[in-house]
Amino acid sequence: MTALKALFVKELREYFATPIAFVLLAVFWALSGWFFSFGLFFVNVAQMVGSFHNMSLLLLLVMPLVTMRVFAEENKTGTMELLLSLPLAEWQIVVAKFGAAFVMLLTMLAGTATAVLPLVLYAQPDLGPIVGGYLGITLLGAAFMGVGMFVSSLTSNQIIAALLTWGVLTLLWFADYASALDTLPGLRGLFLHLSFSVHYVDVIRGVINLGTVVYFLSVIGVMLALTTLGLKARRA
Amino acid sequence: MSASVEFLNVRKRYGTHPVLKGVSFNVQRGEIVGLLGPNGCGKTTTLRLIAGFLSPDGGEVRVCGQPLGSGSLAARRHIGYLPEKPPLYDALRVTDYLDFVAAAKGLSGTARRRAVDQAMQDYALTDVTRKIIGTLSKGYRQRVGLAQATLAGPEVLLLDEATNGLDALQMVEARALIRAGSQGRAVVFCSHLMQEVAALCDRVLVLHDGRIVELGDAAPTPRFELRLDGVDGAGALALVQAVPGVHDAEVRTEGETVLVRCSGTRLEVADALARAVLVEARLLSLAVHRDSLEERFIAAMRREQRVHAAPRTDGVTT
Repeated sequence: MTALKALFVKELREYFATPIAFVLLAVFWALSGWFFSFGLFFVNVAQMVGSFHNMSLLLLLVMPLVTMRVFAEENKTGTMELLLSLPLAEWQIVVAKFGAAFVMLLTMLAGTATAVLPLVLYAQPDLGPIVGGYLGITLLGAAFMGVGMFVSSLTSNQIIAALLTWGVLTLLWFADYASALDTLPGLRGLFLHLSFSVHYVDVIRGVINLGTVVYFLSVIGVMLALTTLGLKARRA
Repeated sequence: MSASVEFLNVRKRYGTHPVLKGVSFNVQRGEIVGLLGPNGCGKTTTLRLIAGFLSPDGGEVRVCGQPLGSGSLAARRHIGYLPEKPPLYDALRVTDYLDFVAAAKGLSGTARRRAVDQAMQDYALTDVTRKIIGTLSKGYRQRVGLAQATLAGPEVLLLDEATNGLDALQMVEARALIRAGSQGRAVVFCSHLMQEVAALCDRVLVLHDGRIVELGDAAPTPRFELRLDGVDGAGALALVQAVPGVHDAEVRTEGETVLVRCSGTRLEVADALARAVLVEARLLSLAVHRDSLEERFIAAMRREQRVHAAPRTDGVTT
């Protein structure tokens, strides 16, 4: 447990030791604020469905930048050799890194929660969908992180990691498009189930059903398991 | 008691290219073993196998009696490893980095703080404690690398080209630090620089064509050449071989005299040799040579090349 905590703290320190994390946070908060203000003042609606929709698209762009360094930098600088020779199990490395990236995600989303305050002060929003929406967007972001971490573990180039992650996430986002192909009727259900966009529609409305939760947790679990297996395979 | 490092008939290949073809050696506690060989011969692979970073394709690696492998956390607790490029996080402060490594090695609370403070004192890092690692000079980076490797008192210390790229002064400093950090540990020091191995190591192994060639002590080995009279070849050989510390003796008869060539474990063997042969023969001359590590390395490489280049007697050529 000490080792896992040590790696988690090290990862957090690395995030906030450079200006990159602060710039990412600033950009995410600024754009989220812009979209929220647009929804509030121009559309005049006291709810956050639009904000969550825009936030999910922002996460699609930003999460690859958060996760690109997680393993790619270790691979490039040679510190992966240290990690894999320390008394740390592969799953501990993956969990600690995921945990630190998750804190980064929570920080990003926590910053946007300030938008709820004017809603509460000047309107009577239904808080249930807002809380549910935040829970859903957290799951969506964590699923993006899982994909990003796995891709980052495959390369030593951060730019390649970010681009590939962005490509995979976009493909998964639009996976439901393939369900329209008449040539693949048997796979229609699979493509619909794989698609982020099909599941996120419920999420941004704050409707958290078991299927959606299972879907996002499955994506996270599969990606972390693949990353762990990838680290184990390196020793071969 | 088992050796601190046991490398047992280890085989490793990358794709179709075999790097280690059944390598075996042991390293005892308190011993610094130098691993020499040309670039690409498998020195780093050998260290990575001991560090648990890689798994062997065949054979077994044991550290402090425990087998290494994917789930070998217990064995890895005994290892301190400094790869060729110090594994440093440039964004972290020196103290945070060492604290992380100490915690990852299982130290906590006061023990961890004490270990980090001690490492910073041992490697003269107290002036740069709060500095960002990315801003440190190469010499300091190497010191931080050495400090992390020796944190938590590992029984086995693995150093890969640890003095590479340092200037002359830094190299001398690094050698002193390595010597100090090696006390009471089993150390494997790998380098392609013979003077570094000769300066630091007790024993030398050479990796050649995926196999180990034992060179013996790193210190220059004395070699003796005696010319005798009044004794035949077999008698001369018996006299010489009876002297403790003598090995690799060979005899050649040249007319009335016998030429004996042998090696000794130390220079003082010359006196013992002279006293022993004088009992039954006349000593015409006694010459002493000291083979440097470089000379022995070259001789070993030539011998290996001859062995592997020789056509096989079963009619098959290799």
